[in-house]
Amino acid sequence: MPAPSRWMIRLALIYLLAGMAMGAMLLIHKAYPITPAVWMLLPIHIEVTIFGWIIQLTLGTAYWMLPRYIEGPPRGRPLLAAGMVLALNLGILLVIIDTLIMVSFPLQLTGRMLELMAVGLFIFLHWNRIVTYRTKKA
Amino acid sequence: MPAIMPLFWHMLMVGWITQIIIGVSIWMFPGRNREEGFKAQKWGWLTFIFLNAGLVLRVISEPLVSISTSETWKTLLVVSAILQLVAGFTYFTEMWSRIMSKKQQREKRKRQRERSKK
Repeated sequence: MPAPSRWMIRLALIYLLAGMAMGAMLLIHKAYPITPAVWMLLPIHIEVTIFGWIIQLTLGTAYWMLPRYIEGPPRGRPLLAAGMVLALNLGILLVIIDTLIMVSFPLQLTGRMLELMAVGLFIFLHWNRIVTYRTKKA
Repeated sequence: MPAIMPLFWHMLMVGWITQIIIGVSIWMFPGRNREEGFKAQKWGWLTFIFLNAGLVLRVISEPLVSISTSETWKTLLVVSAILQLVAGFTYFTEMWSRIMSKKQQREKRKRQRERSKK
């Protein structure tokens, strides 16, 4: 398993635990209300479980498992893969921070742009890896 | 009806997507214990049991909490929350050590072979 996949899958597991802990808190609050502020966790719970867990684990696993290049770096330029990991996680963090604190800087938009950049890098890195190794018989 | 919406989303995102990710990753990620049985694969089995028990309890108790004041449904909802969180921890325990490079995987296999020779 290459390093970017290991980072993404480990981070996805951490996000899963964080997302599940927030979900559990929200569920307990439905039965025994703690404080209305608990509802602030809902958008973070959604962000963390969808982008941090599901999307991150899928991208990390695909980077590892899709067919590799026969010549040159087997999974494309490693720097771009590192950029993909960084952009996705920085994006998620910025969106979370925007939910928690009020700032004049458009954090949410910046975060979403970084997430979009990560997806763009993923497509760029994998487009030519979607191939078959079988060749047609003459 | 509003009480049904979170159930719809969680049956889809936890019962289907998360569960299929968990099942496939336990099968496909390196370092799988090929021995069958509950003891050999206890973290995987515990994840399966806790996740599904938690989700089923939630499906039953959450709509009832919104229409009834009974303590039973409230307690079951809390239990469902805890069970699903525990499933997260058991899955984490199963997977964390299995996220490794090819080199680490080779070293692990070598250690296992040496241990089985002794």
